[in-house]
Amino acid sequence: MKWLLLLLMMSQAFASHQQYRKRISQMKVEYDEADVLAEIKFGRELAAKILGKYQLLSDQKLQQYVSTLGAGLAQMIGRPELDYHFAVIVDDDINAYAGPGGYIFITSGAIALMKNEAQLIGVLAHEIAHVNKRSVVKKLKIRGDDDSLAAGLGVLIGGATASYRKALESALDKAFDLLFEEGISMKEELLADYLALLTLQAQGLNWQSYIDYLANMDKAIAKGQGEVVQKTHPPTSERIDSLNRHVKSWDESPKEVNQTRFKKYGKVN
Amino acid sequence: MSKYIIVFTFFFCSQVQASVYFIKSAKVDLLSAAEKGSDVVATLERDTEVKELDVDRTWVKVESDGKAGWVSKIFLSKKKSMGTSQSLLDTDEDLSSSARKRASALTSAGAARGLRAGSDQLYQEDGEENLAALKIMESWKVDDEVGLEFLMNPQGEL
Repeated sequence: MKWLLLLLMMSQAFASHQQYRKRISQMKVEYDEADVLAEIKFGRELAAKILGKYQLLSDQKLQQYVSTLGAGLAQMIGRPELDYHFAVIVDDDINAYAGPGGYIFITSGAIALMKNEAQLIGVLAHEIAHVNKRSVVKKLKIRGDDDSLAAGLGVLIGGATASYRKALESALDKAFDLLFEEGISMKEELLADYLALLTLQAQGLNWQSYIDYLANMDKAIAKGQGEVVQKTHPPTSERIDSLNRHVKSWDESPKEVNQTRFKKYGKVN
Repeated sequence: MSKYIIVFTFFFCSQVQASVYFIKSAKVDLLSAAEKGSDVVATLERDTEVKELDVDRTWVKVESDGKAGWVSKIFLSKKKSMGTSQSLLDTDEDLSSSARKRASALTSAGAARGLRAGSDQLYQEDGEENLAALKIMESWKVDDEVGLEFLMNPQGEL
């Protein structure tokens, strides 16, 4: 009898402790509207910096195609508090970038390598997954006195003095390096790949085509078209292996890849 | 002895609640089977609360408003959304005040000024940034409904 009572008390105490820990953890990482707006503002600055280095592709039809698909995907798997923006940038290197606040870039080299719409959806979903995870701002670790992003980034963005501008410049440089030199984290890249595959599966699209895209990318990297992606992502073979482990228990991949529409709008001009 | 075991089991079970999720997508079909293309039982909108009934690999059987069906786990979230971008921007005044409360007194006003999304200025326009290209990129924003319709319908045209 005694040990039963003791067990009951222990389980109650354990449950209470778990709830307490959860509450404390939520208090520290809760992300509110001010944080979102700080993220958007910072993301906008970073996007302008990226566009200072890379030109927008002048093919309006392709830009509209990517933006339209991206908008739909953002509604499906993105954060509703953000307005997502998509652009194809001129670069033969095969890559895509997700900046804070929903600014997503895909290179013309990446589009040229794609064979169908399912592959494009997979790549866009991968980038939206990074935005969902707030990968860049988390990695920057800019937090204010109260542990909020708004008080940290917001202070840098709103600061009027030269020292604040210098600090913002430094944060932007760091964010730029994360995207183009250092990478976010290998673990997060693998997760984003998985979420891309899940998105395709949920849409009834051929998820195998995303794995095929990675395999083609690996070949292109060997020919020198993956300077950045090699530095910032896990080896492509590792990404493919990871995905193959995930899909082991899945039913066969559907056949649909939306080829016709991609042929019409997805060609790089 | 057995009655204590029953009491303990009941008590322990009461600690384990059924998982509750919220729909993450703008709208999602509740399917009759764990497979895209199955019959649609109902269509749920963002932030609808659903209760988990079963799991089959990447699909979750959920119940909402008396209707049960399957959705991909990618459409589920443990938390409610923060609202749409439009609703956030509509509450500019409150947001600024919220930021002001939480930022330090020295810098809060500047922080609030800088937090308005879509402003026409950048703080670091120093030649390395391309504001004109950014504005073009932002002008390509497609209506959410149009985008969703295009994505869902492979025959859709631009």
